[in-house]
Amino acid sequence: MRPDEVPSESAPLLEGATKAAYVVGPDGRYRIVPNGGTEAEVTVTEEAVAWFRQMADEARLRALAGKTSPLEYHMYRRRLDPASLAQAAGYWRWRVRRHLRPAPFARLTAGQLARYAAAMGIADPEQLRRLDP
Amino acid sequence: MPASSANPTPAANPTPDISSAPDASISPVPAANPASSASSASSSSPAAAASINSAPDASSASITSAPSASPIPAASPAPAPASPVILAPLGPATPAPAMTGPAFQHLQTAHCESGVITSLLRAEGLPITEAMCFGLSSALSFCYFPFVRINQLPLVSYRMTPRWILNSLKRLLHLPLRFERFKTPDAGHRRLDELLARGRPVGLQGSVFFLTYFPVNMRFHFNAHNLIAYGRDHATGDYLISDPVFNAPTRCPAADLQRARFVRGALAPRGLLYHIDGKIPSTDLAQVTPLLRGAIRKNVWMMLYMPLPCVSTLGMRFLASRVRRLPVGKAPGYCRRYVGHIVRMQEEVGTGGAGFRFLYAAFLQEAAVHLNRPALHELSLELTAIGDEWRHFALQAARQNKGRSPLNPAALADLLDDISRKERALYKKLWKAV
Repeated sequence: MRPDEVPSESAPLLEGATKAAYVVGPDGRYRIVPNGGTEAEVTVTEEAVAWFRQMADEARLRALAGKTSPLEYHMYRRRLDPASLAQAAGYWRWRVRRHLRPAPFARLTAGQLARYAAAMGIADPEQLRRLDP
Repeated sequence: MPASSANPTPAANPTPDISSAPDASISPVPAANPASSASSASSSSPAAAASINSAPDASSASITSAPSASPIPAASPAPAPASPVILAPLGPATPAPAMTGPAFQHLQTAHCESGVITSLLRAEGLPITEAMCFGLSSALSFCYFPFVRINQLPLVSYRMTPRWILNSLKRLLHLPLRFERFKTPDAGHRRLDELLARGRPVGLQGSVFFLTYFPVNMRFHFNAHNLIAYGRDHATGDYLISDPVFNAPTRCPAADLQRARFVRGALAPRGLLYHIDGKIPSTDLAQVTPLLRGAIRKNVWMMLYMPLPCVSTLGMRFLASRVRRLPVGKAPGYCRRYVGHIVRMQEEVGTGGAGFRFLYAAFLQEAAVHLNRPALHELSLELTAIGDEWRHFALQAARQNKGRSPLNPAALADLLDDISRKERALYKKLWKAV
């Protein structure tokens, strides 16, 4: 990789941050240059972010229609999936999947909600019951 | 959230006395390499300016640090505007009084774990580079674990497991590196404060998702990120953080840091902190020379002969076979995510480009100088060429991920197979060269 193959301008995605990239200078020696995000990495990061957003949007519509619990919406919004939410909250996976259904979710105790909220980094557990965009 | 990234000047202003002194002590570090090759003396200085990315940020405002190397003034104004400081809202007053003990020299590196240990070792006076830490610990790898799933996608990694670098260097250099984990967040919190009060820079493991100084698009649930805390601002309670992924030191609210350190889930850090507890045996970089041969051979062995199909160059072939079988017709969305995921693991998550191949090539160049073997320099350039093929693969896969070009798993699999073959040939030559 040559220095001119790395954009030094930070991509909008990175909000002004630059990472370090190892490039070979004209003298044939390695050096570190600021990397504002190459096409490949910006593209795949955008896509990964967009996937979670899309899943959250779909879950929100289904939750509004009463077909799933708001937990699913918040889970994807916080970039988790059932498996990783189960690990982060310390529940078995089948329980998390069960809580993604509206009726079992409505019966969750305050303590259980708090556990989910903590795993997602949401300050107010009651927020999990709502569908704030 | 670092949405309001501050302008560089307030961050640079409070630390002219700090930045100038370590700048002078750090800049000879890359110059230590050309000790044996005099011809590169002139070229190494701009590299020195570029390789310590925090230096231009700080020194652009404080001109006192510039004269440490003559070509730096020409080089330093250029990167400074291109790389604004991430987050330094409370610049002028706070850092100086808050810092307990000596100032900490921030160093931006490609990879978090090797970057943290490099910074910690430099603080102890050992002028080591990130590439040397990475290569010495034989951390280059390739793993494809289809049975471990992250957001429904298989685990792909281009390096050894977390803490491999730390543990290897601890063993090889006989470092008094101490790891501590905690049962309760409170205990972890107290211990961190205690170490910081003693003026020790402390390495921490945490989840990227809860570290609010990260750009929001980079915040995913990866629990094995490494960073350094080097002080605490007692006025606001914020920790002063030197995160090797970023170009400037930053700060993190105590609550966020605590949450990041005590997340549950895969690779849970359980509050892990580590610090160099005592004096390191030697601050002479020459101590690495006798270790290089073993380190390179170990890495070569792991990449060629590890008797597992999931890892090493065999893992690349295994991944290629799975990519070839992707159900494009049935689940195009999943296939697109799959190829994008491979690229994320290769390029996005702090690898220095091409899944650590460039980082290892940089190590081989340093090893060539230490061992006085020009053959290693040649092989480094060969590995760079392979790294460029990895980047070509990444670009193709990224375009397919985005839908800019049609999904073609077979073409990607061919590229992976080709890279696997070339890497095998390279490692065989590398074995003979040392």
